[in-house]
Amino acid sequence: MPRALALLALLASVSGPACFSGGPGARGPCSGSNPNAEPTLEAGTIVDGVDPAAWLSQYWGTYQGTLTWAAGGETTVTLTSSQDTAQPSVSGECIGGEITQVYAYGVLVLTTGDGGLLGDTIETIVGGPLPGLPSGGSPRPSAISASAQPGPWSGNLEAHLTVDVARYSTSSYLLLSVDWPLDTGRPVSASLEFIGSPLQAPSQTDMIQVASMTFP
Amino acid sequence: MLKGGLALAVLLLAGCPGDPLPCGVVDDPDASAPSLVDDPFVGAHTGTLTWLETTKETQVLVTIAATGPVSHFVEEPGSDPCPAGHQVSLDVSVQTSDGLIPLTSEVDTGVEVDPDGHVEIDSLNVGVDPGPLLAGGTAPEEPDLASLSPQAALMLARGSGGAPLTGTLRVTSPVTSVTLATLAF
Repeated sequence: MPRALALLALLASVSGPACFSGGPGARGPCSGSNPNAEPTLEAGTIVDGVDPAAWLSQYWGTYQGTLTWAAGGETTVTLTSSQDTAQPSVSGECIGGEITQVYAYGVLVLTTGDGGLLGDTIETIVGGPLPGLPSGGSPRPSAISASAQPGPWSGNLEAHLTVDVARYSTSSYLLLSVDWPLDTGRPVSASLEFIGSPLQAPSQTDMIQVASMTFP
Repeated sequence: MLKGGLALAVLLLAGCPGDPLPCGVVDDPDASAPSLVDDPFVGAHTGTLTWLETTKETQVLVTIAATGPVSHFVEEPGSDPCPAGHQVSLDVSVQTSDGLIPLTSEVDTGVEVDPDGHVEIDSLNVGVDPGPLLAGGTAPEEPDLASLSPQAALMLARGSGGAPLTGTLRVTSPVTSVTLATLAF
């Protein structure tokens, strides 16, 4: 589900046809029987003159910022993003037989100076339309959504939560949303939210902000 | 793209050639809405509201009443068979004994009632002023919620297992969506 959410964010725009070179033959990776497939792009595949793997590398790095807890208090935060070594491939998103987006699995690691988060790892999907595609040529906002299962967290996160997690189902989780504009090549802000269903109202889903972050 | 979207919108509004026409609606000025309804969902319900973050309880009175004006469907040339029964309005009022939800009312119009008196609706929403209930300390886990332009709504639904009614009270803001209370009747 969280990956589906992230993928939806990636699919927020629709691009036009793309041209390919290299990779699995002259007909391109979208040429299978399913025109809306999500093919793995072989190393060396070039889409409209752009190497997707090289383009996605803009998302990998370490960024320092400031985190403000909703419960009060401010601290330093370090966000590290890297490609998931367990799933190292780059994939394309085909619509109508043409590739419109590329994405890869990433791992985000959050650490705060006050020990609230100590290297908590969050899996996500990162990507978007390549600059060479018609709607991806100009800088445009991008977003990354990610999720983490509830505790035990590595730090003393529960001390920074306003919400009493004991009132919620064990399937509750944290959602990290990162605002990562392509024109800056780096994250500018992020938020961490607690998502869960109250035990006394299991059909409802609550969303409560835990922290906000800025990356100057 | 824009022209295509406009054309699609016009097509959706106009319907497709061969589609049945909608039924007509005729007022029943002499009909009494309360006499048409025979449904346990409608009536006065006294229950308990539990504020989840403080675990405090209070009595709650929910009154759902059928009101006029009354109307019914009539077939038009080219229309499908129309539902029997009538359309009424439901007047829903809520009040808690702790005063955190002062008397609040909302009217749902165009609610269908079948010939047996069953109301063809399974849930109702009543907007509630979040000011008094947040000022009353019902959300200690979200101390800043009152400053985030929140909205509050009571969602009432048919209960299962014979209970006529259940409910939840939720408060939402651009960054928060929280269940503050449950209702049991």
